[in-house]
Amino acid sequence: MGVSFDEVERQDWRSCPDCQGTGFWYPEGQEKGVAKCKHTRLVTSDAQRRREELVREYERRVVMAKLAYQRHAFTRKSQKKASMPPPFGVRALLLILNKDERINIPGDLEEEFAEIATKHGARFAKVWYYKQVAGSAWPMIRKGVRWGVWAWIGEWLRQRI
Amino acid sequence: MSEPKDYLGHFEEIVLLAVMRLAENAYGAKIRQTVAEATERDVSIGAVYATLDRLERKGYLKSWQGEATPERGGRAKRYFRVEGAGVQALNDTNGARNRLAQGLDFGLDVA
Repeated sequence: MGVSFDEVERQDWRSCPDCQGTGFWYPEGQEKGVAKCKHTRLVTSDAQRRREELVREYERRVVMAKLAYQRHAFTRKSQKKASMPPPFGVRALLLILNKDERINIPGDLEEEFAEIATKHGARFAKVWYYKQVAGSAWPMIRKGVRWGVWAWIGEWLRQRI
Repeated sequence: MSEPKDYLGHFEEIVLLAVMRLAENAYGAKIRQTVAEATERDVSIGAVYATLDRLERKGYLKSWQGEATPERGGRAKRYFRVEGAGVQALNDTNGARNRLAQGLDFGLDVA
């Protein structure tokens, strides 16, 4: 059932601290006579309530905006993290590379890692990255060690066999 | 007697051909992808770079640093280009293979 405008007004008057909805009050006590209530305190309290509501609404919006920002930042962080190669893998790769190769090879792998993570997912990409690091270890070590060292190792083994 | 020819290894030949095929876009990641697609094997970037360095030392390739991009974590690319000696080595290797394969009938496509 709908509530009429008058009823709303009457309800508002009922909450007037001076007349309690009667429309009349005693401004200087019952002995000094009755007067028509102008609901001044009601109007003041209404304005105050409205102001408080606005403040609450503002605070609620601030909280919502903060939450939305945090959610967005978290999503961005997790997305960025998912497109980054595993830190342990990167450290292991840097260990087997010489100074000149530390720029290009990790860059190439990072580029491919991002592509694979987008296509097949982060877990698959991480496995691929570790496989690349493991597969690169032997060629890099073999390249880094000079033939003289291999000859020395061969001689050392021959003497012991 | 003619000058002794230097023949390429199997993987060296594949890497050199991949660099030729990629032309202006020949850098580590792309070369690895092209070689992996052609050989249908997961080739490691270390193996590719070791071969590229060896070919460069022999004078078959030339490399230079390119631009750094954000998707590579700000790291620069290293581009490669096949030199005349590389093309010559490819021709020599190919010629030797063709001479050996000529007249043999095992389904090999001889040019």
